[in-house]
Amino acid sequence: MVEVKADYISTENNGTPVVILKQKEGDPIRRLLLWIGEAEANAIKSYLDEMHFPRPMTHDLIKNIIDTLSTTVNAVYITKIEKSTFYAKLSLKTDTQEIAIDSRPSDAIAVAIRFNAPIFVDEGVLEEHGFLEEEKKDG
Amino acid sequence: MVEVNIEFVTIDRNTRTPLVVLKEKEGESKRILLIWIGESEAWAIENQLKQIPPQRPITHDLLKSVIDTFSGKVDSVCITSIEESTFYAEVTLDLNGKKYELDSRPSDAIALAVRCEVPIFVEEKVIEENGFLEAEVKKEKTSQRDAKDILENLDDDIAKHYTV
Repeated sequence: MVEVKADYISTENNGTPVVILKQKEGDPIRRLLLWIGEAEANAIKSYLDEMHFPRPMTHDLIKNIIDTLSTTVNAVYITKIEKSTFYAKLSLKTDTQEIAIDSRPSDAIAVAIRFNAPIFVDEGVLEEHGFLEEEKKDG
Repeated sequence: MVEVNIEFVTIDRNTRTPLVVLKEKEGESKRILLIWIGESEAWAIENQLKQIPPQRPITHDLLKSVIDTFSGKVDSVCITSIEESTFYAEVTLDLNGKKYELDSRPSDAIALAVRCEVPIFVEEKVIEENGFLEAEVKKEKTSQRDAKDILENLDDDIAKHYTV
């Protein structure tokens, strides 16, 4: 597993939002582009941009519920890609246990950043789908 | 508090905003409450009501998974107040017998309630002040000044249910 950080949110030419994950350490630094939904893009972008809303957004509610359950997010793992769909796991930790919950990467990332939890990508996924900054990603 | 059902989710043609229509569950003249919500939350409610299984868990499915994983239980949700045209809601979470009330937008609370199959309540004051009677709408004698205007501008979906 390779640690990455949510670098920024952008949109493709067709208007689809994307999140760019950037390898945290190493040389060269690889990036991974994930197509995500608009609501999840907003949930990530607003948090990265430190925007504040008067009402809790859906991922804020998830954070509040995780807090209430006396657990915390200790990591997110982007584990595989199947038929162009990325799979992730949201790892939750209590004093006694650690449980990974199936999630879309976008939701997992939106929740993880609210806990300052690290995001990891499977080496094979990054190897196959990652790109270098100077490369033009064609999908 | 009065219990409500979700009548349907539609689009307000005038504002192009999704809208959830709640209707009082019991009582002789059932009152209606309209709440404008976000697109993704409307979709999350609609998909669950229509039992369309998502290929991947969507955000509110993840929320339910988190609660289930830690043996939490959603008791109910309640639309508690309205301030400056914004509705407020609470999710009541039961954790080993202890109750927690979490601040939420009504849309998220409703999307969670339909997944957990728990009742949706509205504070009496909220429905008293912002609801309107189905019968009155049908007779075009609505007591709420804006109700008729709102319904007239709704999508055809709603027109099937009300004569306005």
